[in-house]
Amino acid sequence: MKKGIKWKFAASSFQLTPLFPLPLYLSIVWLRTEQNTKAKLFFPLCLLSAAKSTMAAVAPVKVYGPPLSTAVSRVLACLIEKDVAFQLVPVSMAKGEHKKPDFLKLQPFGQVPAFQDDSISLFESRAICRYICEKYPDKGNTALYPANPLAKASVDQWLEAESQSFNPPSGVLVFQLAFAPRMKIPQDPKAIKLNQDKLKKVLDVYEKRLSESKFLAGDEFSLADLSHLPNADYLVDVAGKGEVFGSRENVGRWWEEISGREAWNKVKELRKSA
Amino acid sequence: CRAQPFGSVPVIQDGDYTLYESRAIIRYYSEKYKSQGTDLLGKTIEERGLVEQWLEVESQNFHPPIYNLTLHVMFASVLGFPADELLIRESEEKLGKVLDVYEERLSKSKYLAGDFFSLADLSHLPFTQYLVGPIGKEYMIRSRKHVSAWWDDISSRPSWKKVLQL
Repeated sequence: MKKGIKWKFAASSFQLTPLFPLPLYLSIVWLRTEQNTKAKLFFPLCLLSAAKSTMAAVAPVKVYGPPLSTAVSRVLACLIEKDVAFQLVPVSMAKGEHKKPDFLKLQPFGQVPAFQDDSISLFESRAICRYICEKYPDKGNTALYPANPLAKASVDQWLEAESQSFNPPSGVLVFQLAFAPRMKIPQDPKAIKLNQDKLKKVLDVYEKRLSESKFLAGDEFSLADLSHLPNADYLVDVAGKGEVFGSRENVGRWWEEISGREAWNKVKELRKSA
Repeated sequence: CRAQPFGSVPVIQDGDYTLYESRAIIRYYSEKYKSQGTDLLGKTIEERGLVEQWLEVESQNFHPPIYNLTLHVMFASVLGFPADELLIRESEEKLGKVLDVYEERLSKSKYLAGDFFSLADLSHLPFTQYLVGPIGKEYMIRSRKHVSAWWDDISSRPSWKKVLQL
């Protein structure tokens, strides 16, 4: 492979129904250079095992987007909690790659993340998280999205609370306080004050809930708690808003617990190396 | 009222069990009664994934601008604050861009998640009913051929008509 040329590649692997009882995997790797010439390389891979786990290990799970993105990191945290191997495909938002036709085929709203595995292409981070939990129920953390209907509904309830009540004000604050300065965009003091007040009211509700329950949906860490990690982490670590969480006894306890999780710290390491 | 700590509706009680957040409630009932009525979640994990995707699209992309339109066009005077004309214009523009993506999707797929009516389509009924009615922006639906056909289909379902009669 030549040095200094940017590669974009898509790998597809498929199983041929064999004439003999050995599964044969062919990976076709398409390479595209900056000058738009294509070169095809064929790597025939013969695998003797027909075990499902082997197929799963070969089947690619891809996440498209920068790990700095809150929504992308939500999906990464879920995949790591579930112990599902994945490939992170970078998308440069600074260069507008998320608005280009190739990416819009994966995510028609031009937002990150996009997700692919051997059977589906998906977008929307919370949908991707639910899908991962349904597809790999026995892998990694099996309590993230429980099968029991009442327990699952409780997780959905608090996932919706995150999505509808926590995310809007915290999302504005993350942008205003963590990203706007980096992007040299002037901050909006009115928006900051308005959303700080909204966030405080939401966290008051959480304070009461977490005085009755170890985690939001119940006694175990779930997708509902996980979904809060990206925005809250930026607010505490970058925007200097730790006091909003720490000043509330139960929210503070909960934040210490969930932000200390190994999977979340691996996501943060991924960000540093990206 | 201790039933809903955020102070909003709806809340359901199913025996001893209390649940809030409308999209959590509809997921719960769709799973609980999966074997009766319409299967609103699809038949496979992949179909379910697509239902979840478009349900999240409704929640994250469709809902915020249409909620602003509803609040400021329909309820500002009732609730006693001045309607924000700039916000109305911006929300209409944002909603238009979202509906453009829906138009493209629905040109290839009968319903949002595939060839079956699902929770994802259902979730759009209430606010779209406001849009074509009291908000007075039916043109946003009618000017998009596939969105228009989809709207006619889902809004004429007997279940929705029953809701409108309540």
